[in-house]
Amino acid sequence: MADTVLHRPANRRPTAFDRAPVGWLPWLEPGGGAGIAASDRLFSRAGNAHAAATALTQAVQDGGRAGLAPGERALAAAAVARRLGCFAQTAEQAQAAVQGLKRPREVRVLLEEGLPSPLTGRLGAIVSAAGALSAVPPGLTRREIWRLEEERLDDLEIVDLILAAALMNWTVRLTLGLGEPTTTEL
Amino acid sequence: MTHHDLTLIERLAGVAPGSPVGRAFRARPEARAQSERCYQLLLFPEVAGPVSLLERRAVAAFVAALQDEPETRAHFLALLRQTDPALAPLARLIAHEADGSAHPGPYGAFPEGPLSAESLDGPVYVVDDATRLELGERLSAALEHAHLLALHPRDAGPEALEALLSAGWTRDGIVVLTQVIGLVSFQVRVVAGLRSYLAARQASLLAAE
Repeated sequence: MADTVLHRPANRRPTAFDRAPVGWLPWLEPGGGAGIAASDRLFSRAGNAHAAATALTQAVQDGGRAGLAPGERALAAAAVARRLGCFAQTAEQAQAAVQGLKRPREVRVLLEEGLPSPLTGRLGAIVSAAGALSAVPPGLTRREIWRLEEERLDDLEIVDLILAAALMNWTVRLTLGLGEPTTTEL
Repeated sequence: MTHHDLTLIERLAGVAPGSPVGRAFRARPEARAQSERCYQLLLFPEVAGPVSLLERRAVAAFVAALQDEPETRAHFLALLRQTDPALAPLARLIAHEADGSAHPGPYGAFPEGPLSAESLDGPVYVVDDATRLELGERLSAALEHAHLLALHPRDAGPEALEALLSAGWTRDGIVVLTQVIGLVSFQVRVVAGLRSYLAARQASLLAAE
């Protein structure tokens, strides 16, 4: 039955942000496709737009030379996911940020404290800009831009930061809108 | 799309191709092209399938109008009107509903536990009876859902999808609807981010002269 909602009364959801893996259970039958993640099967019901969105995600997360380091892009995405309240995306991006940056302590501060963040320096400037781009209405204030410029982020790095933060605003709305996080079924 | 065409993001953000920020954006050709492709596929589909062109553009206009980014709002309301000249009143109604339900975000509840203190109350948008008659059940349910995902996505639950199914939406339609809401949430932030950065850059260049 494709057009019924799957309820998950027995599921145990996370109650705090962490970078340990978080599973995801769809609320709609995702359809067939052996070896493909449930999220990709379900999101593909929108036709080829999901393939384009996947190519966009690939490009924004690791595409291109120079610019913001992949770990910094992941940190920006983690800040967005945390602010919006998405346990699954926060965990995945926080783990990628730790792998890329080798700064587990700073990532833990983001996970535990959220935004506004006590983080300073370059990483603090990145997460506060990502948080401002997740607000409604979205935008960077002079203060956020000043911090980015103080940390000598160049035009390309700022474009990468804007893309990474904006795109996670899309991904989180799919993840929160079509299913729920789980700590029991990974 | 040829090299000389501007993407929607560049047009709305006012990014000139030869400017430093324009060159930086074009130094990400794949992200630039795929952003435009996602927009084309969701708002100009070859086959509309489970979500009509009117529904896609009405929801996109509503999400854009909730964000207070003038260029994006104007663009998506115009796109809705262009779908059919008879839709001008609908576009006005959508803008009116967005203005009446806009609220700073994101807000929403966190689960009981260490995050309870971060829970933030905010309005749940419900289309009133008179407007529901004009919009119909399907589009009314879609706007209510779009408001939820745009402003307080962490409040989403399976009961929100039950409401869509009861209003006549299918599984595949719900996925398309969610993708449209996501796309506009993405585009408006790239535009708002680039615009605010360009404005600040301009101001500091002027100050340096």
